[in-house]
Amino acid sequence: MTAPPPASVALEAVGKRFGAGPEVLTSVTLTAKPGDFIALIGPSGCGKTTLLRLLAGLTPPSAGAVMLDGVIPTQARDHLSFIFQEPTLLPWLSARRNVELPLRLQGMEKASRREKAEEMLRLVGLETVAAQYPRQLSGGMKMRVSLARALTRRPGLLLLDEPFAALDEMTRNRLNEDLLRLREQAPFTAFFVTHSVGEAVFLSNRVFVLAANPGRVAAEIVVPFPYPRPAELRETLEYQQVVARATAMLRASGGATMKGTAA
Amino acid sequence: MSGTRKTSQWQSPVLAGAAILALWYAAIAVFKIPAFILPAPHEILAAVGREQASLFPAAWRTGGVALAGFGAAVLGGAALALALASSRRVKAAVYPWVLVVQMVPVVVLVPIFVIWWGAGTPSILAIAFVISFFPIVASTTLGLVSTDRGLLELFAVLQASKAQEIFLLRLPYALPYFLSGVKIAATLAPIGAISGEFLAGTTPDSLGYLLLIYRSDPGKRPEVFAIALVACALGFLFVGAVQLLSNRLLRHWHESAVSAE
Repeated sequence: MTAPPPASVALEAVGKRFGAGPEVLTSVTLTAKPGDFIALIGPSGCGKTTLLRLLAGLTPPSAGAVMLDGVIPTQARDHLSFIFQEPTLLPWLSARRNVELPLRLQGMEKASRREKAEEMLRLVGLETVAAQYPRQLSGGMKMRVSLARALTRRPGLLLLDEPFAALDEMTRNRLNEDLLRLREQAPFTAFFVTHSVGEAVFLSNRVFVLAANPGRVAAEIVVPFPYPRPAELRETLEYQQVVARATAMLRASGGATMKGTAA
Repeated sequence: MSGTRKTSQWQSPVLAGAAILALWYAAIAVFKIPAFILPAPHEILAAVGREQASLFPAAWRTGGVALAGFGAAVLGGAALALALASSRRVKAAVYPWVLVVQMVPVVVLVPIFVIWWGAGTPSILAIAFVISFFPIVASTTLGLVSTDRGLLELFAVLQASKAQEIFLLRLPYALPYFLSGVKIAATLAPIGAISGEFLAGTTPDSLGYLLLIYRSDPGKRPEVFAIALVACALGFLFVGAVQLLSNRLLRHWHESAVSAE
């Protein structure tokens, strides 16, 4: 399968409210160039997850426009993959058949989808557990299967909603390194929602800090480190300075929220 | 490891059974309970032996009718559950009426069915069907409408068609629910058949009919208990078969079957 090039993303004055409720997101304007790795951080209730769901076309915007490669998300779904907070594996399918699922739904025939799934499992280091069922796998392994499944479609845009939040720090770091390595092999544009500033800085080239009530973009931090990034990046002073700066901005956005709520 | 688990799995029910038998004999001895009130277990077994020429063909016949009613309930129940789960409006319209039928006691249904179809096998089969139908409808419908939201969203992002969503997600997701309904139905179908035979009272060579005969003969009290024993065995046969099937279908993924491995 030929991989589509990484997608470009444009949000133009996007607003979102559910029913008659208050705006969850208001006038969000941002663009991502092909290959951008964008991290979204912000206090709870700032609409990070809603933003991802808008990009995935799981919910329509109530104002403004969301464009992926110039079309609305529901028309671009061939080229996007979503990784949820939970691994969302089908418990009745083996790891390999879970990874095959997107290709199976596209109608690819058995032998070639099996081959692709096995290749993806190799890439995430799980070729030995291909025949096992989700309940036999650890939390980190399940997330790897989920990652492999998302990448079998060779997405131009990968949306990740706090995918590693439930994992221990060591496993999370390993998965972050794997994610960047996989991106070198098959480039994609990414939006990554996280609560961990360190994770955001390690992965992304741009960090957007969101503020809540209503959700909006409060600041953008450009992360200057070139890819590929070695694991040792985390131990450098420069990395820790960026993390400190982002943490300060996150605190500022959260503080503003609390004042806003009290008023 | 699994060997010790297997032994302990058998150990406790066998021990409990032995304790119950001991209590039984003790109660008979201590309170001097006469055999026509409560026969001792060996007397019941002896009655089974004495009456085997009529008991086993009757059990065979009752089992067959129960199986037919049960099979119809499995197919019909699953079909109705699919219809109910397909739309909120269908469910709102039909479900209360399924409940209404379920609320009518068997003793009332039997004469009605006898009026409609006569006092033969069709009426008995209908009782076995009605009594085992509802648990299958209820639990399968629940399974079909409680599909995990995250998985549904995954299928939406993956652009699955409606048919793919049903066959690759909703149906397998509902399978454990369906099987638990089938298991309850399996306990009920023989009860329904025997009750039907007893209440209609005209199908010879059936357990319910034998019960009528034994009951009216004071010299055949252990035989009444023998019917209870055979009915139990029949029920266990039904449930055991469903349990085996269920473990086989769910063995890789569902906790209920995993712990039984």
